[in-house]
Amino acid sequence: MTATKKSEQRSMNPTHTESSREEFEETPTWTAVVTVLGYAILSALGWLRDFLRNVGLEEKKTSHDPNPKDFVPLYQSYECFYTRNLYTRIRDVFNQPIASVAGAKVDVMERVSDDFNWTFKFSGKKIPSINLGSYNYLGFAENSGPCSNQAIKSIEKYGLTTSSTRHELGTQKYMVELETLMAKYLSVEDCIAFGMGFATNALNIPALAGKGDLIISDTLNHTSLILGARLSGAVIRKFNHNDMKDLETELRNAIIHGQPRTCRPWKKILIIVEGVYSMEGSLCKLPEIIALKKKYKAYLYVDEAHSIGAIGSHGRGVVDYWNVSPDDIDIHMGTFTKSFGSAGGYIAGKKSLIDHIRIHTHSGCYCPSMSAPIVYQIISALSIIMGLDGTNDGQKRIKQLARNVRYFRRQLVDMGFIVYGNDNSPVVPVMIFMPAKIAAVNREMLKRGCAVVTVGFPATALTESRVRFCLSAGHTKEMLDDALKAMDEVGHLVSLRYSKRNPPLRWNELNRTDYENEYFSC
Amino acid sequence: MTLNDHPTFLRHKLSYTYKNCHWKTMLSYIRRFFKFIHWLYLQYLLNTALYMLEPWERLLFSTLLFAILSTALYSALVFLPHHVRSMIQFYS
Repeated sequence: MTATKKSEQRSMNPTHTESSREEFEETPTWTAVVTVLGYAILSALGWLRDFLRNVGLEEKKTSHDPNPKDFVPLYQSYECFYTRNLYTRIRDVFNQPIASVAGAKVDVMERVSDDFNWTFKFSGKKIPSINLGSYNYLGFAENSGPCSNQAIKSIEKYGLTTSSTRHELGTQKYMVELETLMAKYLSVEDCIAFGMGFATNALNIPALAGKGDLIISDTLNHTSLILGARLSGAVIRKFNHNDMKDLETELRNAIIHGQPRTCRPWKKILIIVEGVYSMEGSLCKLPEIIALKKKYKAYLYVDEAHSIGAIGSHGRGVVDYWNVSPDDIDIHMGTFTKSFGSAGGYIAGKKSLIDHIRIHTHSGCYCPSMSAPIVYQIISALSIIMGLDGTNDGQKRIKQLARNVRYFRRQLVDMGFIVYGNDNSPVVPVMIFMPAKIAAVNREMLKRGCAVVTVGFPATALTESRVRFCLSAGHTKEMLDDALKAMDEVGHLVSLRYSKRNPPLRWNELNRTDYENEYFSC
Repeated sequence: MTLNDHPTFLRHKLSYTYKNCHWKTMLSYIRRFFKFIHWLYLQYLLNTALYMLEPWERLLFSTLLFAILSTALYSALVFLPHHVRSMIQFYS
C-alpha cells in the first residue's frame, strides 16, 4: 500500500521529486589532514600562551576561576581552552552588532580592536551590506508595509503586554484569532502559540513524554529539542541523520527489548525530526518516516522551524513539499521567527492533543503571553501568505524565494564549492573546513559588502566549519549577482573550491544565459 | 604644423605609445607577479592557521619551520651522495 502511495505522490508532483537532490560531498583527504594540522598548531600555541599566562609573563585577560582548595573546578577545561585560545582570536567575526532593520540589506557596525579581540571599540562607521545571514525567508522583516502598520495600530488598541500568563488573564482575543488562523493554514484541528520558539520545544516535550517513554531523535536535532527531551525524563536514543534503515533498527530494537532494566514494553515511542536542518540544509524524508511510524505504531513530532513558509509550493512546510496528509503527523511544531518576521512558536495537531497541552504546558503557568504587535505581525504576514488580503503577494514571495534558491545554489555548486543539503532548501551551507579561513571568509565578504554568518565549533563538528547563506524573497537578482561575484573572489583568494565532483570555475566562466533563462522562466 | 612634419610627428606619437604600452604591460606583469606571491603567502598563513595568530607567534612558528626544513635539506645534501654510493656498492 505504501509503494502505490509513493508512486502516486511522485506522479502528482513531478517537479520537485525528480530534480531535488540531497548531497553531502565527502571531505577531501588532503583538506582534512591540513585542517587537523592547523588545529594542532593552534593547540600547541594555545598551550604555550596558557603556560606564559600561568607563569606570569603575560597578564590573564579572562575572568579566572578562583579554584579554592578542595572544591571541584567550575568550568570544563577543554571548552575554556577553546574559548581563550581559538575563539577569542577570531571573535570579531562573531556576534557583529547591526544598526538597521535586518531585511534584505543591513548596516553592520564596524569594530576595531587594539589588543587582538579582547576588547572592541566602535569606529562609528556603518557598513551597508547585503544580508545573507538573517532567517528572513519570505522577506517580512521590514519596518514599513501592511504588516508593520497593523502591528503599530495594535499597540494603540491593546497596549504592549497583558502582564499575565495564559492560565490567568493572558488569553486575549488576538491569541484566539492567531490560533484559528494558524490551524486553518496548516489544515489541522487546533493550534496553540507560545512567546518563544526555543521554549516551545523545551517546555512542551516534557508535557508530551515522561518516564517510561522512549524518544528517538535525529543526531543533528536542534538544542531546544535535546533540552526538551532531557527535561522530560524519557529515555533518549539517537539515529543517524536522515538514515531510515537506522531508524527502523532503533524502532525494532526498542520494541523487542523494551525498557532498559525491567524489559517492560514502552508506554509510547516518540520520533522527533526537523523539517529543514539549519546547519546542513537537508530536508527530512517524511513519507518514509510516516510509513515507519505507521508500521511500528510510534508518534511523530516534526519541528518545522525553518521550513514553514519557506518550503513547498504554497509555503506550508515539508507537509506541503512531500504532499503528505497533515493528519499523519501527530505533532506539528514551528516558529514564527523565521518566515513570518516575528517571534514565538506554535504547536498544532488534533484538538485533544492541544487541549492537553493547554493545561499541562510549563509555559501556561510560568510565561507571560505574547505581545500584541508581535501577534498582529504574524496575523498580517499569514493573511498575505494565504492570500486572504486579496492580492497574490504571498504566492509571489514564495515563488521568488524558490527562484532565488535555485539560481544561487546551482551557480555555487557549478563554481566548484562544496555545498551541503537539498537543492530546494533556502539554507545554503558552503564548507570551509579550516579554522583560519572562517575569519578570512567573513572579513573578506564584509569588505565586499556581504554580511554572512560563518560557523565553527561548537555549533558544528570541529573540522566541519562552514559559511551559511540564508536566502530571502527580498533579495533581487542584482543582489544575488553581487553576492556571487563576492563569493567567487573570496573563493579564489582563500581557495575554497574543494569539490571533486564539479571542476573549479570562476564566475565569468559560467554559462550565464543558462541560469538567467531558468530564473526568468519559473 | 606643415604636411611634411606629419609622418614624423605621427611616428613619434606612435613610437611613444608603443613604448608606453610596453612599459605598462611589463608593469602589470610585475604587479601580477607580486599579487601571486602575496596570494601564496596568504595560502601559507591560512593553511597553517597562522592567519589567526599574533605577529610574534607567526615569527616563532615560521622560524621553527624554517630551521627544521633547512636542517633536513642540509643533511640530505651532505649525506645523501655517500649513502647512495655505499648502497650501490653493497648491492653490486
